[in-house]
Amino acid sequence: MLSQDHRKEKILEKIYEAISKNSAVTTPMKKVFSKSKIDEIIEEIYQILWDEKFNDNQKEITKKIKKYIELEITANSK
Amino acid sequence: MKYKKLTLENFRTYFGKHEVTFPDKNGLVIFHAKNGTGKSGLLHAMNFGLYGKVLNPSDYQGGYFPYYELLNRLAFKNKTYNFGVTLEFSDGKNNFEIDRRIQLKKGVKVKEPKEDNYFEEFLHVTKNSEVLSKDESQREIENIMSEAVSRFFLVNREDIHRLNNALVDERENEVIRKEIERSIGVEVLERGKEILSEIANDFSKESVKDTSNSKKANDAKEDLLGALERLDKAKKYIKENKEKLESVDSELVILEEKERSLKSIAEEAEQKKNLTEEIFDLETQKRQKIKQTREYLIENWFLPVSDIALEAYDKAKREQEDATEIERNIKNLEIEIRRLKKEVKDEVCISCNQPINKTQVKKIKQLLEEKIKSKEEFEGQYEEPTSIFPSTQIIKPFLEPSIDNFIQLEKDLAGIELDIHKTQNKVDKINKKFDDSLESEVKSLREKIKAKNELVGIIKKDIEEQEILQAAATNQIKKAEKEVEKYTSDTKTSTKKSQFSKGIREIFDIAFELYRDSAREEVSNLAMGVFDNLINDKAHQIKLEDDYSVTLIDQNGENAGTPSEGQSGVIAISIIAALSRNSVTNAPIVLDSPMAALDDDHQQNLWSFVNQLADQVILFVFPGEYKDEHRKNFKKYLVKEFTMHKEEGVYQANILEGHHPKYFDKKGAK
Repeated sequence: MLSQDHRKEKILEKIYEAISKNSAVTTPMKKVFSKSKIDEIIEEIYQILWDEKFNDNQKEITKKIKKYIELEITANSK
Repeated sequence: MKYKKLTLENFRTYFGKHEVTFPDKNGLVIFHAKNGTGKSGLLHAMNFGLYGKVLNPSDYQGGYFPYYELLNRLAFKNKTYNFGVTLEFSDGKNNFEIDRRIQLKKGVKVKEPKEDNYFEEFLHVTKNSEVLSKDESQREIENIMSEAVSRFFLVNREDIHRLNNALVDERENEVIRKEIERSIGVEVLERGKEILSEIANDFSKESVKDTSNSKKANDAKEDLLGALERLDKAKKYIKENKEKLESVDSELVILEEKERSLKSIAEEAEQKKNLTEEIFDLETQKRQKIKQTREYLIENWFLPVSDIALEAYDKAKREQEDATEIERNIKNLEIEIRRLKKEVKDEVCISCNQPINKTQVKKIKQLLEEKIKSKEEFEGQYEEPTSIFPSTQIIKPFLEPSIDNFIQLEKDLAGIELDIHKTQNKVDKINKKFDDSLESEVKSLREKIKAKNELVGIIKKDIEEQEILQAAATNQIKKAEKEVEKYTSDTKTSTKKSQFSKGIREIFDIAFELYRDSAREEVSNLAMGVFDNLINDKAHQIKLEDDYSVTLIDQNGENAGTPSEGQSGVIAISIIAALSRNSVTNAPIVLDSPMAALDDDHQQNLWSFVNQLADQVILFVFPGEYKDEHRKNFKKYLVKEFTMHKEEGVYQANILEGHHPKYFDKKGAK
């Protein structure tokens, strides 16, 4: 595995650690999506952040993620 | 990422076209070259290929080389105003080729085009032989190796020095902290945290507008909107102040770099000041010695000898007076005797010219005898008067012991004068090196640095205060959000968005803390391991602080002071190694003269270790960094060697495959 892939995995591990250790945070989220969908959305957001890690235009990334969340909620929320 | 081929044309010391093909196999590639041949030129070519610019290491303000300085001098003389670099590499999945050329713009007819605006750039990037647009090209390059983290992968000698300064300097450390956190991926989560917080706040605002209008819900909504407004204000203020701080900091870095460059002058000015004070002290000592000598001479020589002289003079004077008196008496008696003798002979009185009788003659004869007797008595009394000068015999007892002491005093005085002479010579040498204007420049620089540091302190304090307000506003938002949630059972989309984004924000907040701490620990442990591997003096270790500043510690964990130049070099290499292994960028490491500051033992250590820095490691070394006995340490990792050479004073370097030491002895170099 390349070191950058290894790094990407390590960060994702910490995101999952944050999810698993803080059920109080995820409980209200579960009103909106199922557990697996939450994981999927978080992974997708992380993928955007990872792909854009060297893009200095933060507004552009914010817009992209915001649009993605809006679309997921409109299309797939409970 | 792996470099495959580098092609240069009229770039720096390389006249015409030159190609370097890197082997596919992982391992160590070494370029041997004497200083001034073009080692840095190749590193600059890689930078230029990737980013289209090359930092000028001697520009304190972080400026880039103008195009005409990247253009080979010979090509420039021949009026061939174009140069370029082609870099072929693979990211492990795709093959890339960057072809970047600079050409004189059409229609420019200047005798010596030295301004960048006379030139234009042509960039041609392919990914698996497919041509990319300009935007795609830049994006791909940034993704493979962002310019912001390139200093950990394309490392020239000045970068090692700068990196080390940054690691120990608090202010520059803020810059390096950002670069390190970007390199190891902490920034991905930090930005995620900021972005998701912004999105959550936006959704909160939308949600508040849509919630029911009960009294309690309205109060909670107002609280939330107020807190959001305060948060925006604090954020804006912090952003403005951070920009201000960054600008003051970069000015400060430039000033301090300037001050460092004038450090030798400052040190010599200090030395000159000390020497001048030393001369002043010596002059005081000299004056005291002269005074002491004078007092000694007066007391031990002048006063006793002048007493003796005075006494001798008095005695001589008295004797002279006595002798004069006797001489006068004798003379008077002689006159009288002559007169009496004439009267006896002529029997005539000389006074009245009357004849004198026998009785009177008899009396005169008697008187004459008395006078003769009296004269004889005076003559008997007469003594020659002594000299007014005292005899050396009298003075000698005073002179003999005094001369010894006087010689000692004279010696002491000469010693002081010699010290003054030597010290003055040192001052003159310093004076030849610089004039007073440089001294005053250093002084003025120090004053400016002091003022800027004070300003930095004020801005930081402002930022700290606003950060407290920001944290308070964030807490209030969370509290108000809960309140709003409590008084509304809204199932509208806006509420869902708000609820969900708040959750994601929380997750990224927590993940950021978790990852930052673990990544920092990984970098720290690896850097310590590398340092331990490379350093011979096992009594020292390094400690990576939370802000990534590095402290040299002793066996008891106590601060061991400022690292030596050699230790600094090892620290910088340790950090580079730790970062490359923990980076979000997977790139080869290219190091220019990494062993320049190391002694032979540490060079051996680094040669044994260097292959572990990355899968592909490219080293540029000059003859002082490489010895035949080092070869056993890296032989099994070595995949290719090159030798660069050029004739002195000629802008035409060549790159040959293999190691050719003959170009490094004087005969070969000719």
